[in-house]
Amino acid sequence: MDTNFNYMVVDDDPTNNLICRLMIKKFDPVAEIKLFSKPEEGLNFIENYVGDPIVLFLDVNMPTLTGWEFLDHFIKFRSDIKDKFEIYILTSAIQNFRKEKEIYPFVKDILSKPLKERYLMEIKKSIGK
Amino acid sequence: MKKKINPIKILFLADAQSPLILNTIKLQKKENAFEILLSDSESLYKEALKDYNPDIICFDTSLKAFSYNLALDILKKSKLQASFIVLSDNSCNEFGIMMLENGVNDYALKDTPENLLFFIEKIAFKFKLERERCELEEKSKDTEYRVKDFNAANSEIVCFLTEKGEIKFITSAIENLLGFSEKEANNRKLIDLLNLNSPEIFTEALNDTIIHPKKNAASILIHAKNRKGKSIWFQASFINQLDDATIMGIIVLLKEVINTKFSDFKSVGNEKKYCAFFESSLDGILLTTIDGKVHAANPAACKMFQMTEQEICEIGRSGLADLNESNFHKALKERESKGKSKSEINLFRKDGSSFIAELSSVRIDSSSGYFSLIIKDDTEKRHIKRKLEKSEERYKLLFKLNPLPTFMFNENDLTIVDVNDSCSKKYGYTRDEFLKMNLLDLRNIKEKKELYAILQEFRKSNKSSLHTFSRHQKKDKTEISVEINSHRFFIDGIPYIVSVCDDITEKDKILKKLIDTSEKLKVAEKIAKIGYWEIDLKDDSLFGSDYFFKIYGVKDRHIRPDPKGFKNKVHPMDRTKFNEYLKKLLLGTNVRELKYRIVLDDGSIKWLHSRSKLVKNPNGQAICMKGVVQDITSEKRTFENLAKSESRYKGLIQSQTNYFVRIGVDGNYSFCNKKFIEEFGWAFPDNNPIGMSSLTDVKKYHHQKLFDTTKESMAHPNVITQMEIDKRMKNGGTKTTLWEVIYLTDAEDVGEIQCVGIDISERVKIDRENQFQANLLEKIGQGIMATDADDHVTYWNNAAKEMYQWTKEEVLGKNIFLLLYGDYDNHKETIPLLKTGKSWTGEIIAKRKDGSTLPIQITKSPLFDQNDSLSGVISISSDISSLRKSEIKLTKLNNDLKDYTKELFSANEGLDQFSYIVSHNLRAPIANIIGIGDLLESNSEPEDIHKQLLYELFSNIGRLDDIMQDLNEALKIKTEFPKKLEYVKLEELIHDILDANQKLMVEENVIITTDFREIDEIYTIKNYLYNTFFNLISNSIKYRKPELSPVIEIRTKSVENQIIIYFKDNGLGIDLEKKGDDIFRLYKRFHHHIEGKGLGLFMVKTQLEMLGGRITVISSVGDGTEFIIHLKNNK
Repeated sequence: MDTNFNYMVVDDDPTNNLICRLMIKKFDPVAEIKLFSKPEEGLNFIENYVGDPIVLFLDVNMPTLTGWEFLDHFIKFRSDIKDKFEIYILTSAIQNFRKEKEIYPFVKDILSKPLKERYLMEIKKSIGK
Repeated sequence: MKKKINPIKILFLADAQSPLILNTIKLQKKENAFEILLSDSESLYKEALKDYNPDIICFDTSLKAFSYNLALDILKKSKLQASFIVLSDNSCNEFGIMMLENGVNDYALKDTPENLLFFIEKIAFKFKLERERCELEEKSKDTEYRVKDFNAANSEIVCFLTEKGEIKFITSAIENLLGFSEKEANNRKLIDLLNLNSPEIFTEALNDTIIHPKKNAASILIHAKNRKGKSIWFQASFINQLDDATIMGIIVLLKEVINTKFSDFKSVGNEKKYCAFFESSLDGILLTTIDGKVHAANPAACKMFQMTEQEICEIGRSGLADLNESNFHKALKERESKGKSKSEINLFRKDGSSFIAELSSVRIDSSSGYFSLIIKDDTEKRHIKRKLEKSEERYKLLFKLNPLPTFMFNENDLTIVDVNDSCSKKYGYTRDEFLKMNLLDLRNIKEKKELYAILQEFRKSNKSSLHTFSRHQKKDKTEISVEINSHRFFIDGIPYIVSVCDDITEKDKILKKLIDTSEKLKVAEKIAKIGYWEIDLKDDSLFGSDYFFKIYGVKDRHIRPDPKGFKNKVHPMDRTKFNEYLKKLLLGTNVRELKYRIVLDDGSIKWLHSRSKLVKNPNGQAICMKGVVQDITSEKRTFENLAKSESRYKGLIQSQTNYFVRIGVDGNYSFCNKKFIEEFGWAFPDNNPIGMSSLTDVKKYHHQKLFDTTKESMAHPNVITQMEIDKRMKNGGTKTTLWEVIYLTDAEDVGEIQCVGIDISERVKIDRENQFQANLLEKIGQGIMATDADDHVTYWNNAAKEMYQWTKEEVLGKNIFLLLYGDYDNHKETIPLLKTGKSWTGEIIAKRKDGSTLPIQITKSPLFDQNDSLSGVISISSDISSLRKSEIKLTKLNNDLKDYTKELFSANEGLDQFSYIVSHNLRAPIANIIGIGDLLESNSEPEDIHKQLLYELFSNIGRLDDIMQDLNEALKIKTEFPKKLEYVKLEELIHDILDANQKLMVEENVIITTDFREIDEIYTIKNYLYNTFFNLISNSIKYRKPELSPVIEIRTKSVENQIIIYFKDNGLGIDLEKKGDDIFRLYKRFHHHIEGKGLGLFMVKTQLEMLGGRITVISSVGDGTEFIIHLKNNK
């Protein structure tokens, strides 16, 4: 039950990053939270990652690299690294991403902004199983 | 292919000064038939043989350069086929015989030009025949060209005339001789083409030939003028072949006469010519009056009498001739009675010596009694003739050497005096047999008479040569056709005739074959039952083939009526149609075919099918109409009978419930069915309409209509015509009936009108009701509009016109949505409801004609057809503007918002763009606000975090507001259009931009280079262009390479009707492969370090599109960006 896992947020919107940080902190005060406003830096981080499993909240609409393009890079990483990531798309968009879901089946879910406590609880539950 | 017959080429070998040559050259001038070349040296002669290719060579023995023997040898070596004639002073027999034995073809004495002429003619004739034969034989295999070539090979005009003298057929020689083409000549009167000096001679001869068909070849001399007015003498021969089935005409042969003297003499009327002749004639000429006074004498006469002209005039007739001589009196008498005379009398010279002269005298001016007297010194001639007489041997040789059969006979008793060897070969008689024979023995009985006639004519004329055609019988009784050239000469006053006869049987055969071919054509024509006709528009003359006349029932083919007569035969019913057809044909309209009827003299009717065309000359002038007619009576009759029986059958079927009547051409009923009698019989005595006028049961106001319809129907037989007629009812009411009327004709009997009718009173009643209702609708104050299933207007009342300003005529058939509702009425939404049969009522804004809008309340009701599918909509609308004005004002904002949304929907990116904005841009700050709200709600954050959250809250609200404003701006572009167009100078525009942003430009060290040489001014909306330039410039500054100063190149180019503007920078560049699709979209940015809302390029694109232009981009990462703008050149 007390499996340790960390959090990571990739989004160019600083407000969202702030909200995420505060919300996760509130939910799990001991969890490690990594915030990236540039997706390129986030990829760098993942590539060299060692440690506990990690939940990634990924934005879609970013100027240099969209969330989907981010995932295209992610797929190319070693599987032992990939296995550590639980990926959630966190977007302000209200459209149906059915097509993308089929292309990226490893994405756990698509969540609508802002990040809510409810989401964090459900994530924790699913990982616990 | 036409072959021109070259004139006979004569090569004279003589010294240039030779008097003979002078004579001959004179001769040549008057004769086109000959061409003469003179050679006086051996080398010239050889050259001439090679290049000139003479037909005849005349050797003058006085030539000093070389002898005739040498000339003959050279000729033989050259292998040229030419006749060699020697002209000599030496009249010694031995000399002549020697020459002939050496191979000379003939010889003549120099000082007797007549004889020379005869020889040349004879030889020329031989040549001509040879040529003709060769050519004909060559071409005879080819039927196609046979006629033409035959014609071309024949320098004589051969033509077939009708009794009226019209040309049925003529050979192409007419073109050379008279200047008319065969086509032009055809159907015209030969006499008209000849332009004769004395046409009565021609007419007389022609009539004579017609009246006496048995008479052979009447021959006259005529003086014609060709097209250019040049005078030509023809020997015209007439042969009556009217009874010959293949020719059925009169054959006329026109041969150009080459007797110069004769022609000159005849042209006395022309004074100038006469004078020239008078002065230069070698014959002595005196101008005398009847009392013997001499008024003038020419130089030749002076020479003969050895006196001056004055002396001759003084001495008079009595001093020149022996008045007591019997010949002299005879001549005077002859002249008195005939106006001319010919005699041989003794005349006296100044020194008293006498000479025998041949005298011809002709009255040249009947009013003043002048005579011309032509004197030929016969002394020399007689001298030579005596010699000829003596030299029988020489003549025998001449005869022998002639390849053509040659006869010499006494003109008086026709006894054959001499024949040559060719005669024996050709005819089979020996020479001895011939000498016991008479010329008549060569002819069959029928032709004997003709021979007398010819000779009589020959004797009467002053001609010395004669050209005839005849048929000769050989010893074995076979007959041959011969062409005879005869020449008369006198020996001691006894006329002898030399006749050269050429067998032209073969030529005749070929001619006959030709005629056979055309005969075959005639048969073909008969079989096809097609007649051919042609109307010459120049004189409206008609030419028709035999069958054409047969079709029109003209039995006597010699009586050919003018085109009018034929037009009159057209059936009166078809005359209008026929005349229209002719009119159209004349106008060149493509009508071509017509079927029409004609009435023959015996009253029978024929159906003809005519196909015609108009023929134009190269100048586009109509020359003639021609065509074929076919007798289609029997086909037509079959068709008619079919139509008749069909129609009758139809009538029978319908007669159970319909009215069925037949009306004769007199307008009276000839048959009425039961149904008709039941309803209208009451109007007639004894309930019997038969024989009564068909107008009886018709309402008076429809009498004219019935009359007109029947007339129309009769004009178009077998075609159904409809008519609506009101009939009288017994109770005084009216019954409206509809009739199908057909006029059934028959080539034999008189036609009848068959009518099948039905009672349509009910239908008419309903129509009237409809009309009444429609009237009612017109009066209603509400706009009533009906549309069909395709939304096209079918009805539009007066009130609708008042409301929408469109008249009924303007809107009928037009789409009601385009007219009135545009986008305001969501038509599709109402359709499902209407389909259920329910009405729909709503309030909409309608457009009016002047573009203003009108709020209306509208009720739509569906119309269904028999299959229960929606067939249209009736809309009743009323103007609610006064009621709704205030309400509308209130909802204006709402509507505007709706409009913005709709604008966005309809924008290029449409729904996509809008949902993108909503989800990514509008939604992002809202999501943030919600998230912050959640955090603030729990109120568990420390103070500093709380403050940061509040700050974030407001900054996100500000962001939301910015986006709203941007959206408004983007939408404004579309709602504010159109703006004013103006000329914008590009250089000034750049200047303005730089001025307004001076600080930025200096800070960033921006370098802008421009090249507006091709286009420096654009007619556009200045504001939009400013925006575009500004956005692109600021874009280049924003996305510059950090290490470089931004350099922007702007240039314009004109391509066709387009303006192209290039914007090129040295900035970061864009990865178009990845971002290309997004670059002009709203809220798209591609760089982290740069401030930007992603609106600029979207605005640029939208504004350029509003201007009717477009923008494209070329770029790659690290390599700068180039934007290319295309605009329409509005100048």
